[in-house]
Amino acid sequence: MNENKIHEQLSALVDDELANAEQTMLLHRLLSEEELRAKLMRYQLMHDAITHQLPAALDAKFLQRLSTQIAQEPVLAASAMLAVGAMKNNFSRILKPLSGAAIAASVALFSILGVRQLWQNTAVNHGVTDTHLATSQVTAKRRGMRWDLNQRDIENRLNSYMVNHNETTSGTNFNGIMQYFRMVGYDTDDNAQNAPNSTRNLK
Amino acid sequence: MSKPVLVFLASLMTSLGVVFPAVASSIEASDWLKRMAISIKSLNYQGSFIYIHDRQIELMHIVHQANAQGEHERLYSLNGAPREIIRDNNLLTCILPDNKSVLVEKSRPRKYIPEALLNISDQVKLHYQFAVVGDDRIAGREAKVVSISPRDHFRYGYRLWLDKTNAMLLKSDVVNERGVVVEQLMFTQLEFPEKIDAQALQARNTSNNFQRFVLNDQSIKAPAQKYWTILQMPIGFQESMHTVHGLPTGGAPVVHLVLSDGLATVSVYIEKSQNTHKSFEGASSMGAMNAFGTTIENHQITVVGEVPRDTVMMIGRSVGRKQ
Repeated sequence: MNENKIHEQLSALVDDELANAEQTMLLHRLLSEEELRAKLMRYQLMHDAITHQLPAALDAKFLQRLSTQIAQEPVLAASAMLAVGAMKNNFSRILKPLSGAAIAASVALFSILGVRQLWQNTAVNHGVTDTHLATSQVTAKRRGMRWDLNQRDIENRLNSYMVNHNETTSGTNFNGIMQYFRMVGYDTDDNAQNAPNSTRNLK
Repeated sequence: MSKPVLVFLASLMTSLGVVFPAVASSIEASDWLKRMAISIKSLNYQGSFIYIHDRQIELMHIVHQANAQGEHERLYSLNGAPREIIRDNNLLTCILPDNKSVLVEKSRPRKYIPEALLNISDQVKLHYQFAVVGDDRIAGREAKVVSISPRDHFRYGYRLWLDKTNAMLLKSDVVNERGVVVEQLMFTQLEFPEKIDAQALQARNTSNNFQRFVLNDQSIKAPAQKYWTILQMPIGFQESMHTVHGLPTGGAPVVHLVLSDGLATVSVYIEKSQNTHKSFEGASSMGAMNAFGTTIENHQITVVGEVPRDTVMMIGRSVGRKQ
């Protein structure tokens, strides 16, 4: 499979547009290729920038780093990602012809203006209505998979409560150890900065 | 037979024809869920899965062994910091390298089938609708799709994809009150070996220099007097437990209330505010798990549960003293 095809697939995966059959093959590659996982993280960050899910305050250093990241990716990849999102995101259509630096500047402009977009996709698959994950308005503090507090001692305490809650209520839980996937899957800002090839937190 | 009677009977039979399939689907869904609970607990399996939340993808691996000695399982991340959780018959150990901490708690015995699924009670049916909604294919395996839909905004809904052969959970969606998927878990590769390699269940992290939080006080007691209560309970929730115990992070024992609607559970922890701990105020989330903290009468109130944020906030704000 050529590189451009991989870029298109990663973009589609980030946008919940990848067909099931392609998804399985790509995910197998993600499990074994660290470089591909790092690329996926960069695509997620770029996607967050374009769909306005970045922190409200952006500084010049962050924009510079974002611009560098976009410039490192093939133009085709960035365009493919924008094209995939174009149907749902009017701002993507506007941004499509722009270069990396211009995209970064536009992101800053949209953030300053406080422009947000909320959208939701639905699709019917095998007769089952499947509601895709929606992008939602994200405040400066929401981080996805972590207790968004940035205070280790409180986070430790919340982890302790969560573990105790999971164990105490195991009688009504049907997930087994998988109930702990949130804890295993969470990420901290410290971790994002220190992890190799991680571009989660460029701020 | 007169025409009005015939019309009445036809209408009745038509409405029953609508009702019976719904009842049959609910019973079928209940059977699938019971089989799923048994499979998760009793099968040997190992596989990789993705966890999707807030447009982020986490990759994880799980190994589960079940034999005459009991269950032994390990869950670990494949990207980011090498977090892992290991459970055997005695201990639950959470190794968190990025926090440089290890949480250790006694592993609680698990019922073979959770009570909520043993017999889906009328109470649970008041707040959820159970149905088998279709077929699909996940990780190369044919699956049945079971839906658990909430009837109000105080709780989440679920969609579960279960292996047609052994009812193992292959994929699950947590759906919020607006019908939006807030979390998704999906196996990309899954196998059921006869034997599990013992090494696959060993921790990979050397956590010798990590801060360890161990729950030493295993005695969970009923409090001498129940001073606390929830003054405004969300519809369908009841207090199902009221105890006093310690926590691995130390400090004075906490009062622990558990609220349940038969399926969803929420824990309320109440402890005297301490100068040694920063207080937790406001709401926070970890995926579909929500937490809320506040201070009432010089006591730190912390609410955690797999319910919408508004529900934990409502509960937290209405903690009060019994009259």
